[in-house]
Amino acid sequence: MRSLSIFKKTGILAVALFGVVALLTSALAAYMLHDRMVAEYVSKGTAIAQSIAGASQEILLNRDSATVQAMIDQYLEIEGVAYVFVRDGDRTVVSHTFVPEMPPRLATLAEPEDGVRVTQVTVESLGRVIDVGVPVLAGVAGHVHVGMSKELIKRYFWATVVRMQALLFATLLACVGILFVVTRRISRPLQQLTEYADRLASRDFSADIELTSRDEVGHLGRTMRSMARELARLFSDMESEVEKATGELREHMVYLSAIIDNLADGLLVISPAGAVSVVNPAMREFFGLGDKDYSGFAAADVFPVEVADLARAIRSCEGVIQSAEIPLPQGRTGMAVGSSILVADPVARCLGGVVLVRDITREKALDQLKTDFISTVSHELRTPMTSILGFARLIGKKLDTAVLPALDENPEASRMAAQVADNVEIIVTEARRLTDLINDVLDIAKMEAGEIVWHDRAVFMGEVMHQAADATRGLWSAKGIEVVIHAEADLPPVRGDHARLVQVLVNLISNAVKFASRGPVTCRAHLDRAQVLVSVADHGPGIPESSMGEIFDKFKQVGDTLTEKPAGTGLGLPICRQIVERHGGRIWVESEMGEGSVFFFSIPALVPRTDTQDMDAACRAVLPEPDSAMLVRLSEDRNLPPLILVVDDDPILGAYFTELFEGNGFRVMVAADGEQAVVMARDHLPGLITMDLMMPGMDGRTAIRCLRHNPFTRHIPVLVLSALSESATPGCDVALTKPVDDGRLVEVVRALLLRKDVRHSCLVLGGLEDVTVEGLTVVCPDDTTFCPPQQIWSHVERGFRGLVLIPAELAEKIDIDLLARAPGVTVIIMPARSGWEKTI
Amino acid sequence: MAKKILIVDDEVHIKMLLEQTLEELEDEYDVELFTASDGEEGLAFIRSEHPDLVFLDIMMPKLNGYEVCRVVMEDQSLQGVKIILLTAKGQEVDRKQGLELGARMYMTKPFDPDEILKVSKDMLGL
Repeated sequence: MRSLSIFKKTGILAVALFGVVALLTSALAAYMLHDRMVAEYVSKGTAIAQSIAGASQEILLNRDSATVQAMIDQYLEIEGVAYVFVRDGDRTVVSHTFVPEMPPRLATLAEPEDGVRVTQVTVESLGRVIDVGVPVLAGVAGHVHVGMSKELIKRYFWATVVRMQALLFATLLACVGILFVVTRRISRPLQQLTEYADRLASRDFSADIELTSRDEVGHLGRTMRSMARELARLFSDMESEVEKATGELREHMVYLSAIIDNLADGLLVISPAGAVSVVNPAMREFFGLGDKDYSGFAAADVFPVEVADLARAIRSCEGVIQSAEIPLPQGRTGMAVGSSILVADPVARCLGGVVLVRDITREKALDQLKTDFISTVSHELRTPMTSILGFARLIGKKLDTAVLPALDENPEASRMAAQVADNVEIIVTEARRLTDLINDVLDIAKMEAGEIVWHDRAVFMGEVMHQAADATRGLWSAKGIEVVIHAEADLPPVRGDHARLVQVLVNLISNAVKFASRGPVTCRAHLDRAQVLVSVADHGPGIPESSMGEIFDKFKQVGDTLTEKPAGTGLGLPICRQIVERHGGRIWVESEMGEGSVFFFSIPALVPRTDTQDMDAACRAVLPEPDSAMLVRLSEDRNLPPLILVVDDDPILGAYFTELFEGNGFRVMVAADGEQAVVMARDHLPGLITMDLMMPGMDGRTAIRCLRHNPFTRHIPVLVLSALSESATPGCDVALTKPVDDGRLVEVVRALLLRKDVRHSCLVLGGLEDVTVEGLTVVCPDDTTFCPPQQIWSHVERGFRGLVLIPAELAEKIDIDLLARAPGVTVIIMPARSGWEKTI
Repeated sequence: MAKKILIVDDEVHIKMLLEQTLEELEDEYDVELFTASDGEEGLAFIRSEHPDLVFLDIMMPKLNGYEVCRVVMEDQSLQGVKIILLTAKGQEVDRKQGLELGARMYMTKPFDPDEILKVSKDMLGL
């Protein structure tokens, strides 16, 4: 096919070219032939005419026409001569070769005056004729005319053209034939190559090609053949590679699916849309799903709500790892842990989530066993300890109160009794140590068992440190070692269990005191990269580096256990570590032998919430708008004892607290609900507020929020007294759980009232003449400073915190916005002087 | 009228300890001390005598402290009875449960006799 098409194309081209060339050459040849023959005929005619003219001069003069006739008849025999006639000087035809007579057209021919005259004439019987007229004796004797037939030329001409065309056509045929053969010879290997390439294209690498030619096609064929071999090799390599890879992949898949199928834990994979994609046999068994294919089902349609909720939480990769305890059939318990499937490569995308369910029935049972064990041990150890400690104390007491006075008379018996009293004291001390040990062991066992209920809320480390120092006062004051506390001002709170954090610091401080040879023990707290870092430094013997890692392990103490008597249970630091780590923190020690040790722990700081300036609707209802003027409404004797505002809806408790606080030398006011509390706090500016949380009307939390919104009550310490202490109360300073130990309550109240950081400082712009001091002393009982407007910034730079009171007429001189942004600074613009005076 | 304190504990020694500790109050104030050895006995006494203060152990035969506490708190006629739970169980859940039932206090063993005295005085308003 292909060869024909090549032949067709080349053939048409050849024929066309050949045709044009043939036509052009034959036309040129015919033209040249025609031209040549005409010229030849003209010269031939001329020669004949002149020869006749030369020979007939005399004859003509002699009028011998018969001789002329005989002569011209001879010339008629010459090829191409059509006619001959001779005229005499009078233009009369003397003789001619026409039969029977001369055509009239020729008779009219003009005679040449001199020389030869050639004229083209068309004669009826002869066709086109070239007439050559020659004068005889310059026309005097007459003229000779010879007619040369042009028709003959025409015949020659056409015969030549026809023969030439025939020859050319024959040549063309021959050429086409040769072309056909040649193209066939060229195209055959091409066709073979094409077929070969086709087979290669259809990946038939067994195909081969016979190539003998040494030309370009042969070269191409050989190149193709080697290419094909290369391709075949590549293909087979690739195929074996693919086969190998597929095999490996299959094996890997089998391996993975075997792992998934043999997992003891139930596995569920969820697509980002929430559809089930993989469920392993364990999971099927847990939920009795049988063998049905659940792919594509919504998780909620297949699994219980707990699993479905978990799946929903993790499938979009937005949350973190989630876990939930879920009930399994037959009263078993499962622990479901869900995590998102995030792929980072090549582009980060979420593939859904995976939920693992483990049957924790046994673990739960073991856990319960452990709890029960702790509970039992706790009971079994505590009961005899109670008797031992209690009776020892009773004995001691009775010795002191009854026996010793009675033995006054008998020195020997009294000495003995004193010794008995000492011995009993030893029993008490040792029993206490044993109790501490039991408590510590139980504490750490409970922590490890997760038995501890943590009461998380915002905890201020400064407060924790003070409480811990107070709790260990007996220890350090007895040893004559001072405990110094440096808490950075404005330290952000941490989220945690207040009591447990106090426990950590009590442990660290008592350790420090125990080992210190001289004071002071220094506790510091400061903010370090979003962590509240607390340190307790002592001047003790130090800890060898080899032991530093161990001291936080259970029952490890520094020193030689054979020669040095352990000074505690060895559980204090492990408990500290448990507590700190539970708060997301870290505990460590740095020490230099002979110099002392520093214990550090860090706990993530709570990110301070931005304090929205707008009050709650509830607050606004109680306190319309902060009225600057009201701050000087009161004028009281600053020497009065501190005022405590008790907020409790239970009148009996209110009365009880009133009695308690008044008995301790405080003044007391009682508010029955939050709303009343906020108004009374504003009007009377107590030194401290005790707040119940559960109250009708405005509850304690809202009340605290309102108090914190009002610049005048913001600084007042709030002590939350509630039966519910589990949940944190934002804004409160200390929370105590009811029932509260009276002694402790009074202690905390005193601590809060004396706390330096809650003291309210005031800075008044302008001089004494601008404001009335009497009222201010109520708002700022501790510290009022007057300063000219230009000095305010130096105060702020030195770290002033508190109220800045600016008389309205001075307000324009200060950049109040900038001032209000300074940490711990509250700006109050006081009304113009007239209004100011009116309120007093 | 004499204030009545009831001690309910199945442990003889603890009962004795509490009794001896509280004897001091008996000497100084108009206080009477009573004891019971199990929950049933204790409850029967509370019902008949309306004591002002009850030191109630939790783990006891027959009727445990929680149950006694619940019955007393639910009984309107026993409103003035203050209960202090006294137990060796120091678990957080126990404490919570006890307070939820309406006990005034939850004291863990071993306790300090002085504290017992102080708490008793506070509770009885002495």
